[in-house]
Amino acid sequence: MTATERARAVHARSHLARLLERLDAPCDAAGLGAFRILFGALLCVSVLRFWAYGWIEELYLRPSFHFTYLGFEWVRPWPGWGMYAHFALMGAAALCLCVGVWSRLSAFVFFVAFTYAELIEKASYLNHYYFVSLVTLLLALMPSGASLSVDAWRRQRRGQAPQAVRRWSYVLLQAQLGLLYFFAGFAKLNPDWLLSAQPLRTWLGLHADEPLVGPLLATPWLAYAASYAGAAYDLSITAWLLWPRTRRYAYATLVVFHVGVWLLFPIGVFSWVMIISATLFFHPSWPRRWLARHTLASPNLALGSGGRLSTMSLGIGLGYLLLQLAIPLRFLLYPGNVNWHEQGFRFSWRVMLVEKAGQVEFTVLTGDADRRYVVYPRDALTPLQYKMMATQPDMIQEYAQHLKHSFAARGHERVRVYADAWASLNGRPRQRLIDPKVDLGNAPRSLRQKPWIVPL
Amino acid sequence: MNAGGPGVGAGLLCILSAMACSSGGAPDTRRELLSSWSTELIVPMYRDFAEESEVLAEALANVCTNPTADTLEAARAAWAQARETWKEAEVFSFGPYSRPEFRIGPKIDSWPAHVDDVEGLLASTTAVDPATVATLGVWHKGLPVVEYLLYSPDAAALERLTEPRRCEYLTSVGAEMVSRARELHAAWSPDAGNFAAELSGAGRTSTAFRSLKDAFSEIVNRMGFTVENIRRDKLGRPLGEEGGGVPSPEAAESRFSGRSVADIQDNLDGIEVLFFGDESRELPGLRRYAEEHGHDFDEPVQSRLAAARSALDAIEAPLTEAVETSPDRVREASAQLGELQRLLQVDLIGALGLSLNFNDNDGD
Repeated sequence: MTATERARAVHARSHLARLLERLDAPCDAAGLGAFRILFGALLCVSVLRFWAYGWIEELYLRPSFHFTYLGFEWVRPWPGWGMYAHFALMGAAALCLCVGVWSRLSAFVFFVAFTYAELIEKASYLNHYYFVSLVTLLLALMPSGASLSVDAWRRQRRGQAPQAVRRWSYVLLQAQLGLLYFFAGFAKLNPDWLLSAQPLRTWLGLHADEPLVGPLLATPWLAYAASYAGAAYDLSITAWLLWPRTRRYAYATLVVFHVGVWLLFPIGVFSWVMIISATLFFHPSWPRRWLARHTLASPNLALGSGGRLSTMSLGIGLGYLLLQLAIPLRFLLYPGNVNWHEQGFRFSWRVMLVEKAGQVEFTVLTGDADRRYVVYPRDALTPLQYKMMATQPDMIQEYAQHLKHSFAARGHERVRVYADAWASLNGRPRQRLIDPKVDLGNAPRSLRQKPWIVPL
Repeated sequence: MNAGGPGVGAGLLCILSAMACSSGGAPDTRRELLSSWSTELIVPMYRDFAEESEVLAEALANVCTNPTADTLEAARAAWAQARETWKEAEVFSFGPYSRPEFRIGPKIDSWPAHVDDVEGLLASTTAVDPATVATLGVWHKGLPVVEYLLYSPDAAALERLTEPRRCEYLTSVGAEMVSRARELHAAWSPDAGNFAAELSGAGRTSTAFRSLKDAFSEIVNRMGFTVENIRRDKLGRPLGEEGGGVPSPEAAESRFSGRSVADIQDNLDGIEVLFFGDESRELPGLRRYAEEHGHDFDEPVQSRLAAARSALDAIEAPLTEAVETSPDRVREASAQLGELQRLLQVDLIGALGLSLNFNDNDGD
């Protein structure tokens, strides 16, 4: 090694050391504690909503067929009352996370239970459900119960030092949220969004009956303004939240934006997930300052022995973030318009980008004499499953393979399944989505490019 | 709140209104359309059907008291007239037609007729008076049962109607239909159940539709669903599409009267009036809303409807025969209807953003 190379290595090591030092710096745990409480409470509400609205029955128990994720076909609903018990466990874990009882274990249990439920049915995929899975996993890996929790109270009663929370915990969660916003904005940089204001123009027009702002929402220029503002907002909000001078205004804007979206579109708890998550950008002591006005004693900031960041931990953290960077970019591996072929669409924070309508039916040929069956799948699926399948090629393929197995199980030989599938994207005239000459029943199911998707 | 609050609000309202009016946004006519469709189209259709059911019930009573070729023909004509109106209204088979608290539609028209159920009832000792028939299941009542009793077997229908129990059953089914038809009309009528107000009050006073978009989407999506049902149930099943191509004539709608294809044509008439409206009575159609939003679907819908009708007309024999003697013509009709279905379910719904939303799990 030359002297120059040695100097570079030392320089790099010093950079790494400084980075480790910065990430390892002790932080007030109150901000993380407040986030855990709010996030846990929201998860409780979310589980109650599933129960109260009958979604456990509707999404998991009623369907006779489930659309699965590649590699997770083994994830099935529990029989009988099992799914209700599953959601009860999930609710208990959310409650424990909220109040900080066995916080990390509770976060992990919720992560496993929630992710399992989401993996059962692909038709119910939502980006914010994926975000919930990721955040609960991260909360299980960090001292999420270090403050404002029953865990902290117990430690104090036992005379133990408070758990340490270091900067990396905040940085990891902030980075996760920042990546979500960035990719949500990045995905909006497409001709439909920027040149045609679609699909916002169509969607906003449907709110023309809203009091006061309705007529305004139906105007084309507002759709363009909202499209550009939305993209700029997603791309820049993280920076504004990071900068202390703009943070307060950025958060106020964020609240207005997400409440507005919540009022206009049926997106469930998504807006509240984002409003709560953005508190992670506040100064870590914000709950202490807020509570000080209500005479709550300040938690002890003394550091315990846990939570130190090793080089390996740093590597794992960086690896996680690189993965979170790579997954939304995997669509680049597939030629064509990702909003059309949807290869690399999920888990990529591509939100509110498409207005699609579709129609699909299947032709099944069996035996050497080509006995022909036509399958109209609407009756065999729930309305949500049919709607999602009609515009998503991988789901069409999965249903074709389900038909193949069903026919084979009934004694048919040489089963071949062809899809007659049409869709429209963002107001375009319809076109074929699937090559009708390809036997989808025997096409391999994989992550490789699907040559049987007709390009837009 | 300071005293300037309302003033600021009013000022903002003025500004917003002025901006909206000056910026070329399309007027929102959905509530007006829903109101027109419910009170000027759906309610009158069900009123007509209720009146025609009464005429039918009278004709059934006539043929039973005086079973002649003329009274039988009059009863058949009354059935066909009621059937025509009913099939035109099929595109509106939601709300009181199908909602669990009503479910009136299946009590009027569950098809294909279950002959074994009907004959089993007639062969039993169960009473067939109106009160009893009202309590029986859907396969023992409604238009398909009346059709079977009036038309089957064609040559001996009159003779069989001389059997007192058969005729009592027929008149009871007729009376039950009148009750159900009146019930359906009342459920929609502004003077009674006023389900019409659920549409026009969507997102405001409605308990059935939480937003105007939900109500509008429901009714617009019905057009595509109707065509899909025609292809799957009315043509596909008799063709044997579910059975590997082995025809099933017994699965045809209105198979005893030979009215299967006419039923479909009536379904298309209902779709046509919903889309184009009716100038003669100043009834607006969906086309107006599409046009206001920059989409001209007039020509495509017109040409697809015409092509479908033409293909249906080409089925010369009754459908029960055609699926065996000229299945290609039936398949061609289904193919043409498929084009119409895609136009309605993909192009139209996609352009207007009227996909149905199911719950909060429906999204990105």
